[in-house]
Amino acid sequence: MATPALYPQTKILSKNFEVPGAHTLAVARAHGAYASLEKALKSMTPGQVVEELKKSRLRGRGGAGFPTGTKWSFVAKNTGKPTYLVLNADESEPGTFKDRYLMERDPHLVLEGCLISAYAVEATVIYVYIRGEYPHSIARMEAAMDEARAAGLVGKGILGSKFSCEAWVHPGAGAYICGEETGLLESLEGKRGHPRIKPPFPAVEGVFRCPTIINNVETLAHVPWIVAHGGEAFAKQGIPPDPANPRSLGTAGTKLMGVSGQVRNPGVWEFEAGITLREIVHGYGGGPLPGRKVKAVIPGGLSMPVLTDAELDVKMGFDDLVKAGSGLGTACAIVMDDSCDMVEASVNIAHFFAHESCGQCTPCREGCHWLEKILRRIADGEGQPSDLDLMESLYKNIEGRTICALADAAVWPLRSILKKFRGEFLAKMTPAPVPAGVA
Amino acid sequence: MTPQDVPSGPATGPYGKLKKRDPNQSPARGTRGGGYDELAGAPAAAWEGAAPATLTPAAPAQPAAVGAKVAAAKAAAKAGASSSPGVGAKSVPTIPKPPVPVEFPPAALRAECEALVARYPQRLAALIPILHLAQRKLGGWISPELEAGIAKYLGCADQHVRGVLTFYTMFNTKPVGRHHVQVCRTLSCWLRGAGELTACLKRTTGLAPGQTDAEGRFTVSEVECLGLCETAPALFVNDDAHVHVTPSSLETLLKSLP
Repeated sequence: MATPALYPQTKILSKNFEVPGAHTLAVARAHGAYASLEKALKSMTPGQVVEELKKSRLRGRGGAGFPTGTKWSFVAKNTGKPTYLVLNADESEPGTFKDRYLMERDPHLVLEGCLISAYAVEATVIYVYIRGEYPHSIARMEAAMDEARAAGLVGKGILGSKFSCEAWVHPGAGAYICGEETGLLESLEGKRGHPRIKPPFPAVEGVFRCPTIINNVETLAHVPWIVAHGGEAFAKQGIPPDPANPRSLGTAGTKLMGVSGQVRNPGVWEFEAGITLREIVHGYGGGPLPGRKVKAVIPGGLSMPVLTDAELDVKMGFDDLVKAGSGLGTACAIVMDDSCDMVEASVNIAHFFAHESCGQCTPCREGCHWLEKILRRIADGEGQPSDLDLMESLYKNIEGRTICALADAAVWPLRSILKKFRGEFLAKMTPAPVPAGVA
Repeated sequence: MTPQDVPSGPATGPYGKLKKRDPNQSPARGTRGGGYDELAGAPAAAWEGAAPATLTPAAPAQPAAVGAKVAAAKAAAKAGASSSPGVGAKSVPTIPKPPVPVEFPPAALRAECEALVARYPQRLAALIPILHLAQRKLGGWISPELEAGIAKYLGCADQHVRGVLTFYTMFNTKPVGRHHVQVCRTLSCWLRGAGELTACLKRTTGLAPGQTDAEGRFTVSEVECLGLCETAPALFVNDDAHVHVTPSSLETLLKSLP
């Protein structure tokens, strides 16, 4: 399958994916698990761990790409309240399954990352919020925690140090919005997952109104390697910041990237950032199904603008994809081939966001349903050219006008599909009726 | 009506005002739990179907309260204009009596529930894990009586539990069949033929998404992304994932289920 020309894989997070029994403590330890935790507890202060993270330029892997070390340094100190660490394992972004691989195949790596992070931000309890649709991940993480607890890696005085930390799995129950960090915190408190207005940011006032650090699974899974090899070694990998752009942060380190949809070989692999989207779709993904051509690709999940086949020569990096008019998102691409009706695909996308809107902000609650209905009408051949303008006006009134980014996530792919495949929409229109009295 | 109606749990959170919105009313269109079309009275229907005996008028002394719900609603609408006595005439007749809470947790689940509650600094935080546990162990769905029992146990209002139940798609507020077939309909699975699976289910079981057969063998649902995208199309039967499903493999699977 693999040809020599393929971009090389770099297995750091995925090094144990093929190891039989890597989810058990004995095998994981034989492969080096918890060595970094021991190093951090015995030879580093929490502040030093945060400094290493800052040096590493690690950016959050959940989609937004916020620098992790910076986030950690925001945590409110000396508040008299406990600090919590929450792992966002509510991998609800469609087309995305990278965190499931981590939790099912190497849960001890994830747990070790959580424990080191908890040490760095001085958290006393870790909640791992896993979406309810991942019963296998929940079972694996709970089993890993039980084993670790029995071995003195979770609980009081971890590894003989003064650091104590508990860890629990909290299951979600089927809500996309709970992947949004403050929606997740509400859900963790036993409520509907309505995102909160920020500020206060979770680092100041998060779950149970206490300082909370919340990170994605893949983000924290990078932490053990960074502690073992140093932040600078991590920063050397991947795409460096663009010297011409002072705001550019680059994309340091490795990243799990996947592809699904209409390709021959869907899957997830780990690369040093720098691989192009074309190499993922046409190389590792095996290209389109027999006799088909790639028509459109969403580079990360469902929530980013689509790129056409001609636009795939873009590096999979946070800044690079933004420059190309899209975004890295979760770096798990969805491919649509030339058999795909882009209007029907838009209906499918709009239905998703209409269904998953939490109902808190009017532009999103109403707008997403409007979009779905208009698109449904066009797909059924009952649309009119003015519907396209109506949709454009809706986009303007939805995007950036809500508490969280779900509404933006609905607008971006739909707007880009309309822009790039406008002809397909127009082809479905009935001729505009002639006004009464004319002709 | 009862002390439970006052949010008494320790968790007020920073958005106390939002929390007071009454989740017992039928949700605003577009809120989670259904779109425009699915909504038409679905939560209310589940409630009434489960406890028809509790649908007694709360103010029997008033003439407007007697009779069918529709008549009552009409009368209530008129009452607004003709200023019939008392404010209660407007809405009281359609409010069902609160369900009688069942004893929760049952002895068999007590230890597990206590352990769940102990994980959090606030009792309410254990709600979602406890709802999962209750649904799994106590019949596959959360009845209004069970809902009230859980509310009592966690010290929150019934309405709060109902709000959470209807927000999260994995909780069932109606009885489901022994095999809950949940077909992923989101983009990756849709591109690989999820629609054919729904059509196959309709053909073989006669059930459209959201329906349960008379003997309680199957419930069919369409759900959003299950995170099994690389093995699309995928579906869940209860908690078991089935991947790379084709219409023919689905037919074989359905036949094998008791």
